[in-house]
Amino acid sequence: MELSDSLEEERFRSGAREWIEATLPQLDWPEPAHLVDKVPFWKKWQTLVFDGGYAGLSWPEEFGGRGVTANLQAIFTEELDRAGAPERLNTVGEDFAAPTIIEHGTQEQKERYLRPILQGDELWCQLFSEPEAGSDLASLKTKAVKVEGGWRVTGQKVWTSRAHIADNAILLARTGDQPRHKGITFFLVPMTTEGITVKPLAHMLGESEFNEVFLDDVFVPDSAVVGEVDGGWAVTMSTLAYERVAIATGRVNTRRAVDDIVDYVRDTGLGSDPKIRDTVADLYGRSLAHYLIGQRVVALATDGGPPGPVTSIGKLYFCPLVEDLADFRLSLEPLGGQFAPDASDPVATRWIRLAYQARGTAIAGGSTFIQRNIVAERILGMPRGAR
Amino acid sequence: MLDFTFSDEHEEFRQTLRGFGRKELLPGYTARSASTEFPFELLAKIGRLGVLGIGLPEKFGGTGHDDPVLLGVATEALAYGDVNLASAPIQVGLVGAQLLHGSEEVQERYLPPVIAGTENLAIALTEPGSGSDASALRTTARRVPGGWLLNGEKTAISWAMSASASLVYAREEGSTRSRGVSCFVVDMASEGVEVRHMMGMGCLPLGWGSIYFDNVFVPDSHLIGEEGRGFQVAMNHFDFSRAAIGLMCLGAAEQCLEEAAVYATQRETFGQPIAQYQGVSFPLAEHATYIEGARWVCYRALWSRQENRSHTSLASMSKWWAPVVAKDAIEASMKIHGNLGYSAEFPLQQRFRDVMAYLVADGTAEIQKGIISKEILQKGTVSL
Repeated sequence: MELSDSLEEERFRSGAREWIEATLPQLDWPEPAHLVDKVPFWKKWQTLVFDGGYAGLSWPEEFGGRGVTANLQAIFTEELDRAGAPERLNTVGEDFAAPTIIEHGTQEQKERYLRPILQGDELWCQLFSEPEAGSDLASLKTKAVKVEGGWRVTGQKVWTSRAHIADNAILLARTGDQPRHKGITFFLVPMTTEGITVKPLAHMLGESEFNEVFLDDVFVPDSAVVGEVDGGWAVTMSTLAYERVAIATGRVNTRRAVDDIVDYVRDTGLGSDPKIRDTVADLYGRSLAHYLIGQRVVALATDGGPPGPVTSIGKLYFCPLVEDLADFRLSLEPLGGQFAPDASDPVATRWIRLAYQARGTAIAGGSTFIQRNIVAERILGMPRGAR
Repeated sequence: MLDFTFSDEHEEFRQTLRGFGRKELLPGYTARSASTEFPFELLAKIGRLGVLGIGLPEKFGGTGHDDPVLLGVATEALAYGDVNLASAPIQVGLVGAQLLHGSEEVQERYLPPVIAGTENLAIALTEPGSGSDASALRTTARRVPGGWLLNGEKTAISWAMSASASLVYAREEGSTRSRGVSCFVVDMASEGVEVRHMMGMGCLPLGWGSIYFDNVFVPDSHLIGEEGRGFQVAMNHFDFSRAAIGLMCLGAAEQCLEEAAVYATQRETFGQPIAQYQGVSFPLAEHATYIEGARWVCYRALWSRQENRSHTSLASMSKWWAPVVAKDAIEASMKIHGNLGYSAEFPLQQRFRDVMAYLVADGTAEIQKGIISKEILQKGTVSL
């Protein structure tokens, strides 16, 4: 085991850092606060990343990537976070959909969809969850009926993050009569297709991030099927594994959050308060542990195999840590920082957003309940729960 | 002999208010709480139930006798329906208790409408430089013929946006700490008063605001209590409000947990209701346990006040612990609801946001722990 950078990693990191620091000022800062306004800002950034040769680092070269190992990809992400790069709006496209297409897609699908993801031309969303199918995804009911040249899809999806700004979607629908995971097919669908209606839903911060998506007799051609008809569950498992890697390694850079807290506590003199010192030290230790769990996931991915259930430990560790980091930092603000997000106070706004978003993260991407089952059954070998 | 039952009168009142809370307050809670408009119509209905005049003179519409337990019963029961409006009996109780130290003119002008729920009064104590350390306030009151001139800034004042008057704490120029502080009732329409809204994450209808006083004239008749002794008047009443705030937060948490229990029996995954999974059912049991514990700390504080027993530390325990218990239970209820719990269309996240304010408001946890530990160390016992 080696936790410090190898020579190659060190060279890569220093090159990436230099490039990021030189490139970020080309954007028209500050980054907009609202999701819809962020899209053009992010697209410009993604174009710069692509032109700089840093887009799709771990993708095969034939699809526009650089074919590097997962650890170099992780180093680049770390450096982006360290420098305060724009929010990564297309995680579904870049981190879940694209690897799935690379693994299971046809040549035509790879040629059509991969490059626009790298160039920042097309954003993606994930049409998986339904009103009656969240944690128990295999109980989904959206139906695809075979017609000449393709399928007609009807149903309802919900909690679809960023559907209102997405260009394309990965979609699960029931194609066969077989029960549960046996009759599901995985499709790629442009969100402009006739019959798709997106209705934004406000979340806890009062903003629209996730959506209801209604599919009314939506035509999807045969060429949009990924993998086998009725064999979509295996493809879905790949997608969810990629999603868990992204979540386990952290959607929030907890080390940066702790560093910022340490700086604040030091600068304000609050560090002389024993209760505060104690909490900061505890959070520092936990963030380091989280980073190491993330590194383990990256190491497993670098070795080529799927990281497996260890990603669930990452998520179980990560969610309460982010809640505690944000809650603690807010507790140091006047009135516990319980002010509505306000552009005139970017610092307090950053932490209030993080505190409230963290409550959603614990539910999204496989709830805490599901992650605990995975750890109990697949790591600890406990009997499978009644289901 | 221990007796944990409510009196018949309290129990009847509790049932009435629970019914009112669920029928009248709960249906519109989510939409109302996302708005900054104050629902005077509902406040007046609460007023007609007699909840706003607990302990205040009958001639002004009050109940006539002090009843701290009843106040706790009221806030807990109303919070099932609307945790924001449930704070009204506490606010009116605090305001009313202080107005009783004022002139007959002031009492007649303000007590009837606040007890009826047709007007609000704010308590303007906190300032940008004095929150937990309230005696560090800087707003000044300068004596002039016939009254005083007030200058200064108050901040994070609940009810500021809907108040027709405020109880303002200001000091004689040159005085320090708690000496020289007087309390005045100031009409918000007075020349020189300006109010600015502060948008919070929760408690929006309660209208957090900053209040600015620029040479505001206050007549002699609007002094509350003795000149220079206003601070003592304020501090004497926080004990009972702290325990009632605890019960208010717990009422909101009980409602969340009950909604989660219903949802857990209706929502099915893998062929069975999620209530069948111990991962879901055990948190219900755990948070019900914490709530039960915290409730009785609050009620013991209120009962002790009723019995004229020492209750300052119990009130502080209620204030720091009950909101934490409530917040954790609400969060667990949100997680049981999955994304529905995080959605703005459901009341759970709204209650989370509304309760968060009480982790800080009315004396932070740190202040409360300081009070409790001081008494433990003085008396050498934890039986407080």
